[in-house]
Amino acid sequence: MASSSSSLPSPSSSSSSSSSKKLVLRSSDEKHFEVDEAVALQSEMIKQMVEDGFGGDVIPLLNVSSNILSKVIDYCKKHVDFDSKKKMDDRRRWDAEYIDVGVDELYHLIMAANYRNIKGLLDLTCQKVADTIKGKKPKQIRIIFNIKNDVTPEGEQKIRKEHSWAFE
Amino acid sequence: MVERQSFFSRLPEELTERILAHLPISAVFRCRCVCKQWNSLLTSNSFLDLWGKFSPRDVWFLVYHTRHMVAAYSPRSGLWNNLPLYDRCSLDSSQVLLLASSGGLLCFRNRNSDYPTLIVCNPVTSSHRVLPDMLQIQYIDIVGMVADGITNSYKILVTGTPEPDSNESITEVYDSRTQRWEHHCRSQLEFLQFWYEVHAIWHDGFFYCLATPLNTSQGYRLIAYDMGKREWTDLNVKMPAGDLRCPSLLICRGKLLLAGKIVEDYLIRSVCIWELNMESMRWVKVEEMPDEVLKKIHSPHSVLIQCQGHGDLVCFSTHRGWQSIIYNLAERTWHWLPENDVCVRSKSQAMGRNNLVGLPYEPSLSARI
Repeated sequence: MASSSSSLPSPSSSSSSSSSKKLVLRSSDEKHFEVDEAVALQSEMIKQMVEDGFGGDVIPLLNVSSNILSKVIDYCKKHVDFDSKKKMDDRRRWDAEYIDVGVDELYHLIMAANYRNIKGLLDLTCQKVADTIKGKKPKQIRIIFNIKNDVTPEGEQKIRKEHSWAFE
Repeated sequence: MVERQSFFSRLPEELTERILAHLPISAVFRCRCVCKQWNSLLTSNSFLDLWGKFSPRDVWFLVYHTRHMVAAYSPRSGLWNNLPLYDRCSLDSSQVLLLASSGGLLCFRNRNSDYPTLIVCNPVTSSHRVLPDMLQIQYIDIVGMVADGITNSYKILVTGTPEPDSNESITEVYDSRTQRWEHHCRSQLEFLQFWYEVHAIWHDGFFYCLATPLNTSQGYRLIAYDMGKREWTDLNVKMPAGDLRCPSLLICRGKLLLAGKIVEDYLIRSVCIWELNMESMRWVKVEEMPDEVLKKIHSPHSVLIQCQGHGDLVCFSTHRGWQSIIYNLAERTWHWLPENDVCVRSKSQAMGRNNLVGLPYEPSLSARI
């Protein structure tokens, strides 16, 4: 089965081994992606489905839109390659470029990685958000993520006083 | 579309928790001020478990202490963290002595009591515990500490004597899982008699330390305590040539290193790092401090040089504690530490030669006392 989306990169077109077993994934907006089984199995959720004897032709991914699914498949394909080569520097460089996305896309990637249970992608996306937070002051964090300040001045002062070194 | 603004409000709490578990320790404390939900999340046990799993591994160098705080330098962030641990752990800095560090915990000895008491604390959570009295030891010669991250427990080794002039040394080990001291061994070895309270360093099943025999013409001896066999052994390692002073043992890149200065006719000749070659049982010189660094760090007034290490990094400090330098073993480069603002304000407090600490410390939110 071919991808029904012409505007999206077809994950199956550049497949390195044409003889390997394929699985078809369906996004929430009804687009189909044919991928090598090894690529699909990067997702613990799909691995579990296959092991449990999932017999259908198409694996439906109800919570993942086609543009996010396409991006997730990019990650899984690349990491199947990386797993066989083990070049840490290449992997880090690729990951850094891959995850350089807007907050909106990051949100959907985290949700998709969590839903499909892809550990590497979940770590990568969580780390990216943590990197945005880590050098910032509480006030800056509230502004960036529009979080309402409901800590009393006394409460904040107490934490600041007890852990003054962390605020210097 | 999910706007940046609604990022966390739309995220399930378990994913917020997972993201925050990737933060370094100082950011965790800052984030506790962001909102009530984060504060309660960041102090929950489930978060502490996750944080132990995902947070970046950070090791700080505890360089010196003043009456109120211990100055810790984080090579990862390039910042000083001044831990106000004495007040927070209800310790009187003039009454306690910092002896050992492992797995996010520090071990102090009560200085001014008839009977030596050990205190263990986690400086970032300020939890602390006074250990029960040792079984027989009244005078401490050696202290070592090793933490086990998997069981979240630790052991403390103390070698000492029941009497000040006793020639029989006793070794006792405290296990945090049983919360008890256990008698390990007795030794009548001359090399176990030294000044006092030497720090033993843990490496691969052994505690190592440098002993000074009563007959000092022999110089330092490298001795090791085998935790499995429960015995002290003189490793018969030939020490570097020359008059070695201020020696420190360190573990870097899985190897046992020695750092110290060589003195000739009361003048400093060099400061060097040696690595123990386990086959020949000899110290092999790895690096010598460049002259310009040596001149800057070792003024005539700063006699004491102390060294600590972790990973690729070796940190040298003098009792003018604000002047410290790190040597990177992988890159073979030297970097001065930035000035510590707090220290600049109270330089006189950092002047005493007993104020150097010289212990690597890995901050932990979850290390149990």
